[in-house]
Amino acid sequence: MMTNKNKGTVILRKVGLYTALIIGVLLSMFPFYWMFIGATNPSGEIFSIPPNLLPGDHLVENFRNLNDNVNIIRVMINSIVIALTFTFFSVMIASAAGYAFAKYSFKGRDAIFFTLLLAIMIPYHVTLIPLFQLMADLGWLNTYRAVLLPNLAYPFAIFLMRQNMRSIPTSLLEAARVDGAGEFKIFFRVVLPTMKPALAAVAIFLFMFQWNNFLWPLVVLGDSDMYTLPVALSSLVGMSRIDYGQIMMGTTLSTLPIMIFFLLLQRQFISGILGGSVKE
Amino acid sequence: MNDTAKKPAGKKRKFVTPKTAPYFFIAPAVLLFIVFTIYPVVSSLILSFQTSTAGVTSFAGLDNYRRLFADDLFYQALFNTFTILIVQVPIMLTIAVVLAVLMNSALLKMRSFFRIAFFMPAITALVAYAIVFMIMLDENYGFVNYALSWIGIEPIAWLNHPFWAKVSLIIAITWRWTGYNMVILLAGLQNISQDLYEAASIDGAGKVRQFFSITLPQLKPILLFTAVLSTIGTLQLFDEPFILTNGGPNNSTLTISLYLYLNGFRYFDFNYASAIAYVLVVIIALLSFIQMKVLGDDDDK
Amino acid sequence: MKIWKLTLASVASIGLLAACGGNDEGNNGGNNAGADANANANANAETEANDEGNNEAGNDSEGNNGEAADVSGEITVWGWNVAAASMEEAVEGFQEQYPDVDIVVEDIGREDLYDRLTVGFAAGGSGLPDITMIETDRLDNYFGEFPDGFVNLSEHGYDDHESKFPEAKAAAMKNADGDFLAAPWDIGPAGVFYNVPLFEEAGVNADDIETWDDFVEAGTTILDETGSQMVPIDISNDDALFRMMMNQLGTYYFDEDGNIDIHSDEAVQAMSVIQDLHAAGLVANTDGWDGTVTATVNNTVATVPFGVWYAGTITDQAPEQEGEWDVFKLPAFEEGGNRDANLGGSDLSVLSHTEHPEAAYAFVEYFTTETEPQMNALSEYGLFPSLVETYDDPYFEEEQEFFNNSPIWSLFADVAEGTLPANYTSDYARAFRYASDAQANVLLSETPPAEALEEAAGRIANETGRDQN
Repeated sequence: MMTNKNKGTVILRKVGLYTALIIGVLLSMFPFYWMFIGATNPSGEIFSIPPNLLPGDHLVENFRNLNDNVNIIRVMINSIVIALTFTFFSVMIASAAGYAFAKYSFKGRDAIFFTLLLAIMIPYHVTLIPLFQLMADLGWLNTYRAVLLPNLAYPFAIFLMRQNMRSIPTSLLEAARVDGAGEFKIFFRVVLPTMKPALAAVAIFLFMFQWNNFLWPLVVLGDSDMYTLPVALSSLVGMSRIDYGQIMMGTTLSTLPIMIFFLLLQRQFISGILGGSVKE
Repeated sequence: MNDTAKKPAGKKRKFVTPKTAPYFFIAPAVLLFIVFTIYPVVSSLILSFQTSTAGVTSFAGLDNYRRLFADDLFYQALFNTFTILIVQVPIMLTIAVVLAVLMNSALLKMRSFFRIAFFMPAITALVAYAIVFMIMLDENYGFVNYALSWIGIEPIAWLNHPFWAKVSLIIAITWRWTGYNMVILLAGLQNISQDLYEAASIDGAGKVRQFFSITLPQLKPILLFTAVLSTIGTLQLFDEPFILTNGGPNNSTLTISLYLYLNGFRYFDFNYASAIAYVLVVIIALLSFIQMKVLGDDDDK
Repeated sequence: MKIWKLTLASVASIGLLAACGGNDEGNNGGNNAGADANANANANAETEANDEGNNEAGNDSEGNNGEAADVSGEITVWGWNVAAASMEEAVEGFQEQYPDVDIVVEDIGREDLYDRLTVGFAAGGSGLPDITMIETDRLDNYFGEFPDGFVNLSEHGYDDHESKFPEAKAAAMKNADGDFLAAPWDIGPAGVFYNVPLFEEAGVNADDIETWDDFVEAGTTILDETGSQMVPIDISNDDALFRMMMNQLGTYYFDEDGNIDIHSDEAVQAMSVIQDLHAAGLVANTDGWDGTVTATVNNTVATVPFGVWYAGTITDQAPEQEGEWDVFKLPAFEEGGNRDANLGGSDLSVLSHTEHPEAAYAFVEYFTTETEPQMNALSEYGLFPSLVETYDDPYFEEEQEFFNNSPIWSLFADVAEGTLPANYTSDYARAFRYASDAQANVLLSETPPAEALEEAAGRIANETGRDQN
């Protein structure tokens, strides 16, 4: 079918396409490369002129220094456990709520949903102190509960799930009801399995949020053994003596798990995000 | 923690009818929301009507709000925030749409690689982002000025000039969030039926015309979604000015959220900080509402 | 299908890890941190009872300072960086006197520490340590807004130590009633760190720089001869040089009565010198702390006027420049004028919700008034003591190899003793910000110094209700 002329334009377009994207990738990835260079070089190298763009041999030493200051393995495990726990429960809560908002009509539905959406608009600094006070009153300071609970009902996630759930054909649900399935069984057996892509998309958002969540864990976690990565890394940036090699090592490590998480879920993510709202 | 998350098992079927079920489904979310969002929000709202000197709190009516509307720094912050919003969001979304269209090309291989590469900036830890950008944008030895010197451009005071500081923030935010929006938009593109394009091809429409007559209209709900999210994000802009410019020079990058933080956490005026927060909430709500009306919420109802 | 496997796997692992986590918390008894968590949990279980207990304990303790045998408890201390490390190292010596007191030092980043402190105070004292470090210029800010948050050290007898510290430092530790709410630790006597090879290359002799005019002149020579600028200033974020100069001239943002003085003739004079430096092309506009450090180690600037603590930064960040740095005193505004000023420094406070005020006070007293921990903090970490008696230590006279074999510590000790007091006030944070704005205004927008400082004064007056001079 393809004529020579067409072939020529296809090649030309391919070249253009890849050039544009590769320039984009370079811009987007360069800071990461630079970070990695920082992690393999001694601290002062980061200042050198002209900039050093080659990996050095300080990788192990930087890791050792970092590990002397921060129990990095422990902190990584804390972060992973917290982010996964949060993601799991938060996804469940959001999908249950999103399902109800999308597929049932009940009294107060729109008012409640609208109130949830309003919460997205509130700057987080302003609730910090009352929330901290609440945690103190509950006696939950310095617990992971305090880190996890406040954002567990994550309005944006509920919103996303509701948008997706709307694409479920009502007839499917009715058919299940006719078969005598209870409402919960329908949710777990019929609804959730069709929602895998959306669940993946929402999971990525939630994991990202919790992984990088900084200020709240900082104020509620007192114990350095309980620190999450951002909190631990931040403690390395002080007033007078900053070891950049160490910090770059830490930040490089902190991007790895979230990259892996994204890699695992991204296929689902892409077909899942907002899938529902578009089809309508 | 687990109690709220576990739904009452299906055994209590009598109570769970299609009529009552939605309440069970929303219960965990709503309970958590009331305790951990509504309660703090209401108590900080109350704070905004109070004043405190030397640790003694008293009722102040609308004093904080009155002060706010006479505060030229607040207006400056408002102006800065809106300037960044008006410039940055359209630039970012345009780049994101273009990237998404390119990424959606049938000619492209290794799509996953590109997707991750573009998405990466959105998942960086703040501390890393802060240090890397601070040093890269440094006027004297930053990599950016070094690279610009190759093409003969004089060093730019990226973080220390009222104009360039805003530009730096815009660059930083765009770097961080373009890929994120691109991924969302790409998802939207992949849901546009190929039939539409084929029909248009038969009618002789070129790629560019297809983009404007099919892609954009089909993408509208998702564009609206990303526009609203980006608007909210920019109106709450805090991390970048806090880390990169500290609101300077001479308040040229002071944003509303940063001003809120300074009042609360530096000057210990939590009452005033709360007032700022609620004015910001009203602005965001109004703006989101207008965006939905203007761009048309095809998606709702 | 994949995602379900993944979800299942993650749930399973969460379960496992959560179980581990639970065990960890319980089993960590031997480790201080774990014990702390348990103590917290217990405290929370009987919050009210304990609170009452605390208050009583606090009252009882008055006037009863220091039979080592009675004092016990576990004390948590917040500090950052090397300061935290130096406190950690003092624990052993402390426990020789107070064997029943356990000290847990938590190293928290500086800004993070303030955020946590602020949130804790604002929430009524929850989650705070027994002792915390606070920088001197921020003390009034906290004293003003959270007056009940601090243990009155005077009631424990700290007044007896007042004469051991420079007057300016001791004055800053007190609240409006003249009571000590903090104990003085390190100070930042200021000096001009300079790059010896650059000075030599330009043929400039540091000893000849006696006034700021000399300084500008020397800077111009150095710029011509070497291409290096004279001083780094983070123009829009930090007015450190301005503050040192004001301190030299006996003024500050506020006068001793708390009136706004940022637009005084002296302040205008100081800002004008900075303007001159900038106009002569001698100011390297650096971005933040990183930028300043970079400018220092890269020969971008020939001098860095800063507090003594910068010595540690240079040694740390540019170990290869050993012998290439030296220090002279800040130039005066006129020949024979005052060359002493201070920049920075920090202190220890006992926070009032502590369950063991006696033990906490004991540690603060030991750490701030004994020479051993203070000398260790200096020699190991470059934290310069305010405890005057330490200055007699032979260490001060020692020549420092890194600093061109000069006895720089004795120079700084000399500066410390001559420094004039500054009234920081509870509105320091605001004033600091608006002063930096004024500096940016003067240097970047060419506003006359008097006008820019008047504007800053007006803004501070507006927001704080303080009088302007």
